[in-house]
Amino acid sequence: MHDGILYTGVPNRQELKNAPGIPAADSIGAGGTAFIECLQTIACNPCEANCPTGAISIGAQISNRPVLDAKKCVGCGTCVSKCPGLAITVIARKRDDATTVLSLPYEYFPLPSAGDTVAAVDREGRFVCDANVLNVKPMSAHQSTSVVKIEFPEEYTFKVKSINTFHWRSNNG
Amino acid sequence: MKELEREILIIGAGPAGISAAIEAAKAGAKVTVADEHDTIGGQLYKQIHKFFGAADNHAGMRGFEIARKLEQEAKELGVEFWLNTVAYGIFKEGVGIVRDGDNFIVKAKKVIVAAGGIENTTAFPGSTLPGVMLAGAAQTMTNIHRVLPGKRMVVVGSGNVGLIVAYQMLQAGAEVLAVVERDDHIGGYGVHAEKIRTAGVPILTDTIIKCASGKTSVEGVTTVKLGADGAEIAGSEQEFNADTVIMAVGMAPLTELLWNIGCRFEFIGELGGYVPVHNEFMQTSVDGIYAAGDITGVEEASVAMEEGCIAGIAAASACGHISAEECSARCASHIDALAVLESGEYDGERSAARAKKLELYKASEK
Repeated sequence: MHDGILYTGVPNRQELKNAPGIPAADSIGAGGTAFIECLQTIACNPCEANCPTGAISIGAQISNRPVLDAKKCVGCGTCVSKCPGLAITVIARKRDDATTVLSLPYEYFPLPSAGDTVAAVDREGRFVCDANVLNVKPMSAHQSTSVVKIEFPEEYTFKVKSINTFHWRSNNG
Repeated sequence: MKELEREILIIGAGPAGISAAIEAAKAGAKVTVADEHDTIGGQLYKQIHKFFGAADNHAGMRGFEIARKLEQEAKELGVEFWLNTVAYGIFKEGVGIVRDGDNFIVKAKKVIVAAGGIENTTAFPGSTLPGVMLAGAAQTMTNIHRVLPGKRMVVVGSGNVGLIVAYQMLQAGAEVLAVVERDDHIGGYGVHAEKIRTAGVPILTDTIIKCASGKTSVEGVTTVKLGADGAEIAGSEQEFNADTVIMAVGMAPLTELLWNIGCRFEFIGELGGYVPVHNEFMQTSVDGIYAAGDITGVEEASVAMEEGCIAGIAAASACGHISAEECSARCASHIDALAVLESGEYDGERSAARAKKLELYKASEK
């Protein structure tokens, strides 16, 4: 049975481990670090072009995969809304209260609001846990890609990929 | 028949055609663009997702935004647009067009054909029922006219068009029950696949639609898995309570106008079928006739725009507006950009296909 991004649309463990844009787990701090889930060589470079600290390198051959320098990344999240593939999130680990904060690109209406409880889902859209919405950047700020910041227990740090809109819609009638 | 004279006539106002118009006008040519639709931008106009590519060349912008930007730039440069205008043939006498119900022959010094591509279809029992449509139609209804064609959809084909249309239907509020793919792997970019998987949409590989059923429109869809020998696996059927089937099973270059004037063609499967051979300046085997965009092989809009720029510069140079040296200098960055765009794991074979077309053009010159 084939697995991995090419066969299922879901990256396997090895693919995530080998992606040069994905930071080592111990390099993710409280301030947040970009998590660039760009696994294939596609000609594209807005993440590199827009990174204010030079933490993302691709080079002149723009089909190279982005390489993240976690030391230079300040977790500003500029790349999250710039990536046309919606492949970038920012992960922050707040070890004092054992929670993780995830900023994710979001392009569905209606947008959630700060204070909402939403369903956090994995890469197959399955429910993982409830998450609190901390902040929602309006679509108008980023060429119609909103950035939603959610908080959930740290044990689900690498499992949560997004929020499930359908679950979220039915919860809110 | 009434005759009109124009310097450069471009057929097709999509990404290739408008890019050609902009570069030709910048070089000093008088340019007219004809398109059968009533809007400028071709397929860009219905694309609401952000485009990949180089950040200094529209990447990160949504398709319709790129169309608007190109339209504005072309109009500022004085490009003339003939919309609702059908070009039906290229003859020795000129280009035959129908405009406002009138028939004209346009005598142009140079013609750039940027007619684009046409969607492929597939057939299965029930595929003629209302509710079965092509991806382009679903996008036109949803993204332009804001009418959702159904509520519960099955998408056929997991190339980029299939994955993107599935995402757009989710965004518009429809339920996408599945994307089916007859190959053993997903055809489009992993990032597009991830977006719909994260939304809970299954992508079923080695799977086809066995039939769509319903009295007066689609009321259900049955899929079936294929074995390694390509035969249906009995008992692997799955039922979906769908009211819509969207087909996204590839595209082919829309080449009739170039066949009609006698351009030399070659069959290149990677590019979608028969494509005209051309040189690096997009000149076809017929003097004065250029081609750009999906008509030269179905690829990304970013490739179409670079090809359009090259064709526009070359046509303006051939009209005497800029020297051959200036033409080469202006085309260089676009030729380099094509090499970069046609690299990477999805597009590597395209650069070989391009080299083949150039080689065949050279051979036909002898």
